[in-house]
Amino acid sequence: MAVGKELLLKIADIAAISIDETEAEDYAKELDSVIGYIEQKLSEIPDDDLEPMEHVLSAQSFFRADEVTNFDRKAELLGSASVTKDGCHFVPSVVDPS
Amino acid sequence: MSILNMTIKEISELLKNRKIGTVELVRHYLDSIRRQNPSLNSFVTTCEEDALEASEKAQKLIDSNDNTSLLCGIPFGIKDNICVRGIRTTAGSKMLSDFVPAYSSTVVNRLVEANAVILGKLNMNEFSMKESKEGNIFGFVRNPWNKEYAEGGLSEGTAAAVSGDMACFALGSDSGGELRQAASFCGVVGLKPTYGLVSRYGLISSASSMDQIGPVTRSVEDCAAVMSVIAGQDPLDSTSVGRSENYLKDIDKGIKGLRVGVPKEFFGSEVNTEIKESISRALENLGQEGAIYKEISIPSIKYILPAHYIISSAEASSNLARYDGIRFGHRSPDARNISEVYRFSRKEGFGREVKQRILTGTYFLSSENRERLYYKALKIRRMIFNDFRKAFENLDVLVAPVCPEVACKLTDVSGDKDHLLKMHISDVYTAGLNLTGLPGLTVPCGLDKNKLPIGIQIVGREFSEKLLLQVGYAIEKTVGKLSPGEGDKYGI
Repeated sequence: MAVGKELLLKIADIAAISIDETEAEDYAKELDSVIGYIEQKLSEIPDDDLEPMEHVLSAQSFFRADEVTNFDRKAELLGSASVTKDGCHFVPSVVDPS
Repeated sequence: MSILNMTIKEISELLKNRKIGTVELVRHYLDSIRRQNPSLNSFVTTCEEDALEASEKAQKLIDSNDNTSLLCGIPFGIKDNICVRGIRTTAGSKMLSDFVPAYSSTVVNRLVEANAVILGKLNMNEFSMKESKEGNIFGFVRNPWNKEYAEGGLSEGTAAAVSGDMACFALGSDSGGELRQAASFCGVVGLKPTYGLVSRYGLISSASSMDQIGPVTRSVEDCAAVMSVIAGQDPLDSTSVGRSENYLKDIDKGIKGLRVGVPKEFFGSEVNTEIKESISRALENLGQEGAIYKEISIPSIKYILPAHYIISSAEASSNLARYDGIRFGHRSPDARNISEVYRFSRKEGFGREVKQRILTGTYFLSSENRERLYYKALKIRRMIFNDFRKAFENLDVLVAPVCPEVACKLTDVSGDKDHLLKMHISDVYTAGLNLTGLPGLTVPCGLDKNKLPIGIQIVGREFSEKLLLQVGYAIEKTVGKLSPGEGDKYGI
């Protein structure tokens, strides 16, 4: 399936990245060539009943003790944000006031 | 006394015998950085004052106690995606160009507890993704063996720092082979440990199921020394595993009876003849030491690349969703509402290759393609894992090239998209271990006709690092340590 400009713009919307139409054409072309190669390789492999492997077997999660600990570095954490106000992260309104 | 290109073990002995002091040692590396970094471009941040302060503390410990750790007072560099509290950590991205972490990674905490001394942060490709020249905010790293040539992944500063004598060792990360490729191109030792053996807490994620932190060192013994400190379970990383041991113990045990497999798929016509010859010589030397080697076949190797590309893109698109311009990272000054904060900040903060990978990953994970492409890649991952596991039923280790070519000239890669594709294709020799979680050690095994280093890769079962280091030690013994010459010999 060819990835056109329209589909690419939709993907960029889902990924929350602003791109213009020229960039969309450029990215779509590149994505097309990657997908072309990948689909051809994947088609060589029969669809057998192998279990998908999301994580390697050695990685079995373990839990640490559920204890309250303090992380008293509020100023350092806020220092990484571009905009803060009154000791809080500051964002534009998430609800359209109109 | 010249300490140029000395190993941790050699320097540690000099420190303990009071032949040199820790402050003098740190000054040696700071001077070396000042002199060489403008051309090699390995360090992106140096911590001169903190390093001198830490070295004074280490000296006091050495003066008052004969049983300090091997790493006490030893200066090291850290790849710029491993967090250090209070020190700018960028992951090579404009997105994080002002990010100063409020906490340190577990690996850094462990090394600092062992009184190793942080020299600074090392250059890297943006979020560890290979990219063309215009992508990285700090530019290319040059190869200490010949400054006209690139090192591994174009912008990996770890190996160049160690090879160029700007740090005694370095901490790197490996998501598709960048740590091993850079080490191989720069003639130093690099280890990608088994997934889970080293805590990832404080590592800026790229592909979480494949990322792993590992050491880059001047000798196999040094690699063992660093691993002995950084490996082991961490309550702050639920995927870490409690398997640490003393990797230095029995490192010289020998390899008599070692069963070595040579997968023929890794030695095709695309591999440079000089690399093949160099690895053959290393195998013959192992044979003389008592190892038995034979050719084997792992057919699924040819599917490593598509599986790795799909999974790493998908995981990157998910991981990098956290960069929204609010809590940390670049925030667009032009955004007028919350949607524009996300969209504009991500447009401006990420480089071209990273945006391409996010878009590609989003495509793979979309409901129309998830089953057809993403889950298929996960099935191929299982197939590759099963094939490697089967190979290890009758073998102890495998050997492979790290790359099909030695380092390339920087003039050949500037902004060249075809070259970028070629670099991705060369990941086939390394990315299989990221897919399967298996460990891989690269050790220098020779030089090509242009005096550029060639590395051999030794692959083992899960948690077989001790054996890999013993094999690496045996190879190193026959080859000898490679260094880009004393002083100005190679233009350093």
